[in-house]
Amino acid sequence: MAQSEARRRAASGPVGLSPRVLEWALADSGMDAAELAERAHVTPEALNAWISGDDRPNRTQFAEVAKELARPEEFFFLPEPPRTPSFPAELRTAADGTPLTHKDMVAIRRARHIQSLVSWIVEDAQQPPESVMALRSIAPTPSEDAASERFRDWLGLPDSYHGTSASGHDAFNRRREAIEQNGVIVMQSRLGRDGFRGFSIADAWVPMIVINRQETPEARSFTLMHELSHLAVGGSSSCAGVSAIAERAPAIERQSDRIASRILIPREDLLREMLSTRQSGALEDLQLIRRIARRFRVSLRASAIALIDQGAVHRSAYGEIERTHPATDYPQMTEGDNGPRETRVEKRVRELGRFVIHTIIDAERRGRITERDVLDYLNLDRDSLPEIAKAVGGL
Amino acid sequence: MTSTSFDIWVFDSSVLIDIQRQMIARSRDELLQQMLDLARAHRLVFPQRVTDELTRHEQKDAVARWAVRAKELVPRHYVPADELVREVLKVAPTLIPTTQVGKSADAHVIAQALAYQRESMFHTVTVVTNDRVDRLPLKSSMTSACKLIGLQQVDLDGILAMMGFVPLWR
Repeated sequence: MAQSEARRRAASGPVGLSPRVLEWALADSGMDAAELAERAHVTPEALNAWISGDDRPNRTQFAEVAKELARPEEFFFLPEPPRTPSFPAELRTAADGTPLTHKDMVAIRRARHIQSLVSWIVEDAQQPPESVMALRSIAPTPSEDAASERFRDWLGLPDSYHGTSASGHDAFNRRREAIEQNGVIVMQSRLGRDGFRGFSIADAWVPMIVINRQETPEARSFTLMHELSHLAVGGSSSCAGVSAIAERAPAIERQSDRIASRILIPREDLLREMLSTRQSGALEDLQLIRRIARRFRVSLRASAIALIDQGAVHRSAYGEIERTHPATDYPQMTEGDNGPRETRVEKRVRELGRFVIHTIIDAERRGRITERDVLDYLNLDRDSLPEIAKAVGGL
Repeated sequence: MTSTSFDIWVFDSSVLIDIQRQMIARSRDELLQQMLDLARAHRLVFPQRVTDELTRHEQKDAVARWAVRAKELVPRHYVPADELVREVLKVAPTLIPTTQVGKSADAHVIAQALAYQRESMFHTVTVVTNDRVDRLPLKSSMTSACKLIGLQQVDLDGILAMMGFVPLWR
């Protein structure tokens, strides 16, 4: 019976989707009509005819278009397009001015989907976002040194945490957890565009940072603080690997890189480290940059910016790193690069972060969302739910 | 309210997932058997999307196995007509969040209930869902959508009372 119903439906005539909704979904996707047509294996003329309402797709064509636009099929039966785009317009273009790929746009939409739920849960629970408001109050600070000090106070990390971190990965996790404990989502996603470091989306209740997990942990730490700096001024941004030193980089990007560098490498600690380094003999610029990067568990770029700002290395050292170490901070990690094979639960914890998972599970326990919602948002099977709840239980 | 032979219940996956989680195994299995009998009598139905949700990630727990068996018994393992989905979303457009990427059974469950309600004036069609809380402006709940469309709706406690089933909870 079921199969005959499906066959009957599959064989039925053209699909009466809403042309306006299709047009909206295409614009929201970051693709143009030619790209969508190619991906969906239809002609641009046919696609344009569906958008104009002059023609309609058959069931197979419709399913293909919905899949390529990463939308549920029923979305195209909405009476009218949504009033607002699915995420802020400023995220559609990276800071270096290049448009994001469709894959990146879908990653942003997925992240925004989760952020919207978590934000609703926090607002619904009437938990005043005091830490988030405190983050916003950092922005008016005039000097970058003062700002970075206030960021470090806000993070609440112990002074010597980088020294006691076992690895760059460990240091990144401690930095991430400090941000999450202040009510900011930190997720990791595989982003498609080379050099797309991450993005941040402002929100009155729960701001969000998403890091490209293809970066090294040290580079991820730098991106984390860079995006945190963006959130403090209340903006959303997509950040590509623009050089912080390059004149073509927007001022806000250069400033965010400098603040990020100073959050990770406090000035006093840097001066102390430089003093002890000098006592053990002179180092070439690149050697010094490497040494500071290792000491503070940061990327070469973060180290170079801190040292250039102190006048300890020549400005050209940053360009040298860009030229000679292009892959050091962005090694294009593959699936197996995260150490031993992860379980599904471990993977979700790494991707979504403890704050997201804890908030969603807690909302279900309070009866505000269903277990089906939890499984949908966490993309988990029912058997894994107790394990993931246990994994984040102590947040 | 008690069950009559004219009732048709359209199940959402949220209720079935809660049956799996909240009841002790003996009670759950007994309830699922009764629900299988209802499916056989064409009084319990659900759309294909519900089966998809229950069996996602190759899930093979009791409700997943139940859904696979029950789908062979329901009169139409339902994929709703586009027109019905359109009608549902015209009244309750926020059933689909703007940011949604994956599939959801919500609009299909309501469309199926709507189809049954229109087919026979002798049937009382009820949507069975535990999705009760609106998350506006993101998403309206199934319960609110049912009210807007004029469909009767009950949650898990409600359907158990109508079936006269006393569960043993975990």
